[in-house]
Amino acid sequence: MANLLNAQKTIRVAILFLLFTVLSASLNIYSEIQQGITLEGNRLHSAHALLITDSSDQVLSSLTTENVNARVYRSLSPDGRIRAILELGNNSTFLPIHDGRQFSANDVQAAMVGSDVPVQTVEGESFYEYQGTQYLVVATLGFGERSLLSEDVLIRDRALFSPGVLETVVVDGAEAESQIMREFGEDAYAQLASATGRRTNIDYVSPILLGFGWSLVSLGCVIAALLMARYTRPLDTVRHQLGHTRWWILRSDLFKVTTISLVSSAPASILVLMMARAPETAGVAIAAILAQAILIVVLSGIVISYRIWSQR
Amino acid sequence: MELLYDLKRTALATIAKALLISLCAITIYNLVSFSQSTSQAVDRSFSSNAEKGLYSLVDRLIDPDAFAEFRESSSNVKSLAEFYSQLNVNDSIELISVFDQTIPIVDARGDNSFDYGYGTEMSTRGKYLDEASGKEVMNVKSIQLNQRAFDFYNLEVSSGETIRWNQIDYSNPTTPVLLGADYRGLYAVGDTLEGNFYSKKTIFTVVGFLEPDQSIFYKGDINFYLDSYLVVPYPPSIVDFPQEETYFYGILSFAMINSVIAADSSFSTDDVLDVLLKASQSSGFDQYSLLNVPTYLVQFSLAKRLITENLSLLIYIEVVLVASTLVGVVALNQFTHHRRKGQIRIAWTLGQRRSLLAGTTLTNTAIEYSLVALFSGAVILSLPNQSPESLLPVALLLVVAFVADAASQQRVLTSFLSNTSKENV
Repeated sequence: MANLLNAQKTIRVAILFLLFTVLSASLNIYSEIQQGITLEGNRLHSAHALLITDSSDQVLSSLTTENVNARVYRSLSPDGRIRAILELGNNSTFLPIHDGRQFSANDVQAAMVGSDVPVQTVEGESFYEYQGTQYLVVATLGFGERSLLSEDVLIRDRALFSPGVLETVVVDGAEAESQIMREFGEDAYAQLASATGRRTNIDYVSPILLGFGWSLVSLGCVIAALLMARYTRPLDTVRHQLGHTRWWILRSDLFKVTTISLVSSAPASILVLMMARAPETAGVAIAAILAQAILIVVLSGIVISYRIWSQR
Repeated sequence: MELLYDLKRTALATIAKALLISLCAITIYNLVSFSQSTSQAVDRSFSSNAEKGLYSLVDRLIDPDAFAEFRESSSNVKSLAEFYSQLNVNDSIELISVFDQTIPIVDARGDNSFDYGYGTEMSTRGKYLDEASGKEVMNVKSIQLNQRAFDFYNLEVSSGETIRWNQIDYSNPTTPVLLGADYRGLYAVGDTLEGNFYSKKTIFTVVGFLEPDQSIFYKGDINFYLDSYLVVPYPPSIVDFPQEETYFYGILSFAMINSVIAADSSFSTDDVLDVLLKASQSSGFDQYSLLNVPTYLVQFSLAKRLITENLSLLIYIEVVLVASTLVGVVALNQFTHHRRKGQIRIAWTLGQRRSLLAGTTLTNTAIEYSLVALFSGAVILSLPNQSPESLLPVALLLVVAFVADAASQQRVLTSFLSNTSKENV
């Protein structure tokens, strides 16, 4: 009978764990897709994009000495569809792609192209030619076959930013934005307004939703920990009276909590793997789920030890 | 007294529950306000009557000499003006004429973000001394358009009045203009601006301001926003222009005819060419050609999809949020009940009336939801996206939640009391 009751309680806590891990996984995926949609609807620029005319090495050195995270674009065609890109620091947002991978630090010469851009295929690999140079295509731009980026090309090649020459580049990144505003005169830069996202109030709604979503997750962790402590109490009291040491009881409880939280993290992780658009985001999201599981274990540990040690 | 004792034992859980429900209510408020803003955006720029095939109408006088020569003859300009007028009144197609000729404005107010070169590779020139007039001017961003364009893109005026299109005539002493939303605070309705419009000194009178975030499809971009633009209306017809101003009207008529034609999808390219041919034959202007603009419909559907995709994404996340909140609330309810159990049992055994116990439980629920109303109300009123219409559904939902929660807590109490009675027997 006692066992049955225990199983019931365990399932209840497990369901609670499960829901909140699914919630945090969903928040991660949401934030990825949302950012991707914003980038796709805004020619890959976030709300922190600045257009600046200066010699690009001046701009780049200013950004690299401060070690800020940013993407720098330079237009290579009159319509701006073909662009050179540089990624500085660690960008937490990913470019919206539906086939392939993000640029990596090892890509010296690489490209991402929209699905309507002609490429040459050599031995299974696609190449995009620009001014006589063949660039390996690492991904297709846009979340789907048909996207607002289907005619866009991004070329990652530092040589396309000519040093010393006055040129117009777009610097995109929250820290980079304030850095440029500080260092360069007001006449040197222009803020680029958001495009599709501006049609709705998504720029207000999304951060609020994420903020409250994460508060809900934290609150859920605390509730889960409190419940765990309550459910383990009767058994712990008996064990205490049977003469088990406090450490032993804590260890056994923690083992249980850890098992429950890890097991209930699994469905959330599967959800992430199914729904994340980029493998990089899936990694981040799964790490967040594990961090949450650990947080719950730690919180439950604190509450349970407080109870065990105050028990006489 | 009983209530106070009870509150002390369950204060933490009560606050946690109120917070949880408040957070959920706030996210729902957000979702409602977002879905309203989505449908507004769709109505404004992506309604089905904007889902049309677009063609680009251009002149064929590409050679600068031929272009200049054509404009020297006022009868040529007149035939072009006639061609425009006929197309402009044609009901089977819509002649959407838009051009972004910059206009130097004397003593322009506002910073460089209104400069023609701002945000482009041209970079800004700022305020400079115009040698011809000896005045300080700035080349401001300006868009000139006809009524068909204004209506097609659903442009709306937020303050002042809209353009009286039939009265537009550049030989009047002043020309009414609209200013983009960013100009608010810099100019007022009734202010005048002195500008140089295709070398013609023109006095513009501000008659109104556009709503924020008004956009048109221009130069292949569906997200061409007008917030920092000076909007100059085209006259319905320029056929009767004064002979001595042939230079000005020559340039103007070319700007007006280089336009976009919108036609229903049932209308084929040949049908559009037919309409053009008729206008050409009766006006005598035949130096035009027609290009298909497939990018418009593609961008139209993709931008619309992005907006609706955002909405479905938010709905998905809201469902998970609500489910988590429900589970959290149920867990907290159980916790509070567990805390109150002993107290209730004693009161019941001592013969306290059922209605009194039920009343206490109801008061507790009411306290929880008053806290919810307080928390969520305070936060919602301080959010940047104020939308009074979104408040009502959220308030209704909270009332429903209160009733359901109160009912379930009463049921728990009843079943607990009958169990206790049985035990006592």
